[in-house]
Amino acid sequence: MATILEVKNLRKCFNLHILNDKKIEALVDVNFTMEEGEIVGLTGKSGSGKSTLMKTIYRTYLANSGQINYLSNTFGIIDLVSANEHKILQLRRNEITYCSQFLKVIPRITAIDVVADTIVKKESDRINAREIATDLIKTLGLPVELWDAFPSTFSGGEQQRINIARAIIAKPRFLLVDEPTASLDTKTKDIVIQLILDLKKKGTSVLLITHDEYTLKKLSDKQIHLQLGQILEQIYA
Amino acid sequence: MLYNENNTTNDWVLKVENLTKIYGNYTENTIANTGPDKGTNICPETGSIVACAEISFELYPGEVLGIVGESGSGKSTIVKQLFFDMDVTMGSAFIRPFLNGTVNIFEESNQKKRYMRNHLMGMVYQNPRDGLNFSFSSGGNIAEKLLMADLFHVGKIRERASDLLNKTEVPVTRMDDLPAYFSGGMQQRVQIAKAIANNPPLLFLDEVTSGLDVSVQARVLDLIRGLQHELGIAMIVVSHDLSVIRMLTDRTLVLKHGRIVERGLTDQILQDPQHEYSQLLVSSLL
Repeated sequence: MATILEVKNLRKCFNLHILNDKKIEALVDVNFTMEEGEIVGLTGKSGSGKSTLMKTIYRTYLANSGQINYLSNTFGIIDLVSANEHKILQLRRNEITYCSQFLKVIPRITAIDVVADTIVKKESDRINAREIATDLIKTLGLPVELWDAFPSTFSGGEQQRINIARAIIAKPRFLLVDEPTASLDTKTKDIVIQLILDLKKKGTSVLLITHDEYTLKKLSDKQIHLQLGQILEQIYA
Repeated sequence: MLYNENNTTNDWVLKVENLTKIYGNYTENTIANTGPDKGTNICPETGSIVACAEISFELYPGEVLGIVGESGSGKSTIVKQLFFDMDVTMGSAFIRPFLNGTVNIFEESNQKKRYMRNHLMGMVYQNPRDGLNFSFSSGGNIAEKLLMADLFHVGKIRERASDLLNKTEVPVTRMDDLPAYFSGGMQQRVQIAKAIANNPPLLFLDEVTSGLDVSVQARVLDLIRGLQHELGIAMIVVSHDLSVIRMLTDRTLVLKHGRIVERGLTDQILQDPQHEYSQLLVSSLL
């Protein structure tokens, strides 16, 4: 097994110019590695830097210093902190997917199309993509009458399922997922856990944030506990 | 092997270098005297107005680039210069489909510029009156663009026009009506149909959804997104509306007093803005 992600001396400090240059140290000195096909759980209190770490890896946040070496299919080992934007976009299209806690979509697109869109970008035909999308939201137990409705009107749990579906439909090489089971009932939670395990079987590496002990126990091969922007301990399951 | 370079690759469709537009007389100090650091775009020495200066960027195939900034920051000036609606003061631009991007398009003859405008570019203006001829029918407007792009067969033109109106969800039965009888949202969609009529590799959208109500706005956004998916057109989207930028674009430039103050991936600009002005812009978002 090769190392898919190596985070070295990562530091992220928010500098808020409009608040008299107030500084917020979100990540102090983060170091860890992830192996291919591994599911790593990030834990810690609210505000400990879990989401910041994930967003810095996805390049939504710019790191102040340090390295994030990612083993990509397209470019080999690439430093996500300093790689150029086009390479990041290419990786996001083909390999790395981020699934946030909140669903943000273009209004007036149906649930099936929202999910299918992720793979239509890859130029496979839309009819086929819609079929795959339909299968997936069926598996996730989304009521039939919602399939061609607009997700902005959905309940929290339904939106979350759409969000998960569009993240995993492309079978990414590296999945970043923030609280995938937070607003789901036990049964749906188990389905989501199973889907993520299926992805793992196909070789996907997953970085997972969750407050839910059950999800963490079921999924993670390794846990990383964050406190005040630093890694407190790493636990192997 | 470790990829660590930040230098850009060579497969852009549009490359803009040092684009500058100054109104009035200027000296060599004019650019240094203005900009976000000086807090103005009016030169204190000469009184000339620097609409935009030192604008450099690249656009890649199929990419959507956003330009945000307040009124008067130079957003529209950039696309209007690129569409030859406005003369440039300084700077150069290269487009890949024209002689493989080897010549500065601003130095070409008017004839060549017309060719590029008609064959290689499309523009959608904020006000449909700028993009449409209101004394022609909506079909006629589309035909105008197709005629300029060397399609002369009337039957084929009508076929293509009804095709485009279908795509932009304008009822084909209204093809022979004047756009003046259309609602604002419909006019905007006819304008989009006209702009994409010749399958341009480059499309400029200048505040397309401003002034439309939210339901029509959603439809226009959906349309643009669909066209981008389907045809893979590279676009520049100018808007002061950050939600439009978030939904449509991959990368964003933030403009202030005619300069680029920040550039980056759109989600990075919206969630981790670095420049003081971008932080102000993002934190003012409803």
